[in-house]
Amino acid sequence: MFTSHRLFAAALLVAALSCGGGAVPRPTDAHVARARTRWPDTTRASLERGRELYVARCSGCHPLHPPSTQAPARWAALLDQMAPRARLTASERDLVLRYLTVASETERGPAPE
Amino acid sequence: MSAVRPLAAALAVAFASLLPGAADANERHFTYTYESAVLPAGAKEIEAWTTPRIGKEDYFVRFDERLEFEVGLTDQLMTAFYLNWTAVTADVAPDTRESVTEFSGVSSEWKLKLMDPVADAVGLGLYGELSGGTEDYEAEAKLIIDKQVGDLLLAGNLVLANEWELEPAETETEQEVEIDLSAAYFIRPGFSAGVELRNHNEILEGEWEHSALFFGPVFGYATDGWWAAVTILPQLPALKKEGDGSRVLDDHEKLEARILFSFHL
Repeated sequence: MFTSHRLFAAALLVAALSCGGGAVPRPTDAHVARARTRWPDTTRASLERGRELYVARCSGCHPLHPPSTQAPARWAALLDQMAPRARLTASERDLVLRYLTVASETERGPAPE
Repeated sequence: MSAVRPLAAALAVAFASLLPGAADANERHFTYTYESAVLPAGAKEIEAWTTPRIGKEDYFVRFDERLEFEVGLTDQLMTAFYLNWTAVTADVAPDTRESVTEFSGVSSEWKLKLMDPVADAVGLGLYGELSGGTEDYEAEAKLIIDKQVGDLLLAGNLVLANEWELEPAETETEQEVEIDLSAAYFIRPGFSAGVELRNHNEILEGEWEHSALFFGPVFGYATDGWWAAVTILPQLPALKKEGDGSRVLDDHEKLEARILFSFHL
């Protein structure tokens, strides 16, 4: 009776364990160092806050897009469009932008000048 | 019966015209299986549900209609209020077909998101719903698990419900256990296609009455300002039932479908 349920549960578990939340990575020292080249006042805590805001405000409306699915330079335009809907203040938008830009750059490499 | 859907649509439009604002959404990609996402704090949404239930031993067509107003209380907690109607056309005797439309009650829903299906190892949510009408009332709890891996979305619910039916002589109590499992693939941003599996078990007076099984396709579409999802679920041979036939046709139908249409306020 429950064979199909067991198979589905196993697939769900394998998928969960294989991903481990890496699609929206937690900020590391490498992220902070990269961010400071553009925003010198960036800290690990501010990048964590940017990630936290991104997960909390954006996932309510649509599945989250991992940062690396967009080119680093594209995140600013996307946030201009989405920030009002996510009810992000200007300072919150800035924190989310820093996180998404740096996380994308770290995985994809810096945007071409 | 035909009066129900226009009434629901008219009420939805009335709500929308009263409450204009920024566009927010809480896209659903399945119609029976819930996902862990909740509306962001302050966001509001109207959802109109239509659930056609078609075919028993004799002619039977039923529409369950719900109109839902959702609001995000915090970024992790949302609540919703529903108005529910039912319309049934059925053969009640040889050569006698009757139609009944009735307001079947109201519901209050609460959903708490604990983990995110993309950012965390697995998405996790808790859901509670209370429904009350003139003939019965029900309490329902759901454990929601979901996970998105690339363009593949997986979700599962364990649902426990207790229903009290108000009979003239006594109140009858029954329990329901349901397992919903779903998978969908994002063919392109905003458009998903997949399958839903629904296993509904009923326990009456401590006896396991039946275990009905449904399986079919689901499609979801989301764009700026609104989203919709539709599932078509034929009933498969039951895992457990009493009496003749392979399907459970006293409490269920040969075919169920569900259409959700939602827009942002």
